[in-house]
Amino acid sequence: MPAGDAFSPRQADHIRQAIATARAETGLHFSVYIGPADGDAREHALRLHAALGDTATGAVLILVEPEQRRVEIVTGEGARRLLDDRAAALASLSMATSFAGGDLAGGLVNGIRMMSASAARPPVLHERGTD
Amino acid sequence: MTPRRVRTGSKGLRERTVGERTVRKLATRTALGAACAFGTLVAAAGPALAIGERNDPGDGLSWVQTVLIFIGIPVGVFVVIAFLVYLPSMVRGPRYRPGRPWTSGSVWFGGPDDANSAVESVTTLPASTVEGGGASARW
Repeated sequence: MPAGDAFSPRQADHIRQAIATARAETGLHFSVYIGPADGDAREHALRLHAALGDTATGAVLILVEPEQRRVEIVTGEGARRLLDDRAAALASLSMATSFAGGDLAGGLVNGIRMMSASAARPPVLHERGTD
Repeated sequence: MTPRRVRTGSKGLRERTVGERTVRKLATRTALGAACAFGTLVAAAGPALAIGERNDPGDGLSWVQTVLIFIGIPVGVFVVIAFLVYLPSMVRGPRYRPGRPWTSGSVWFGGPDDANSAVESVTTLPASTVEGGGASARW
């Protein structure tokens, strides 16, 4: 898919590299959508996640809605075991801070790295619930 | 009475003598300075005097030259400065500004090849999505 005119070719390359690195480190399929959402951002993000088909269970979808100023992270059933909601919330807050400063590409790259680092860490099973 | 008068007299005499000396010194310096200044002026005005002798001030500026000098140069300087100001943002590429309308369309990294039909084909959310989790944030 062409990168549109939201990002320069260099920025788009950085995002693709971050996705590829995160996938290699965690085995999760990271997917980033930037653009307008039809209606509610969360519902649109869920639909996009479902559209990933067979890979959806191990997929992490990041939706960035620049006009509604919302970032949504959807983790699949399998991906949630590696990337719990608390880690996703931390990454989403970090990304939102960068986006508020106008840095879409940098915020995405950092957010993906954060989630990758969190998911690559072995889960601690003896702690209270993972959510 | 008498000592006081003598004192004032002698003081007045001394002041007058000093005053005369100062005035003379000042006059000498002024004359010297004026002579130097005049000499410098004459020397510096040499070319101008020469023009006067030849009685030929040269051609005036044509209107093209006038326009170039008084409009072309300022406009050129303006253009160069404006270019230097906008150069960094042109090099950096497009930039998102929160609160402005989004006109860049949509991008999907790591999405399905045929994105539109893939999204259209989703009628109900599968368990792999519903059973998952996630987070959201605003800015």
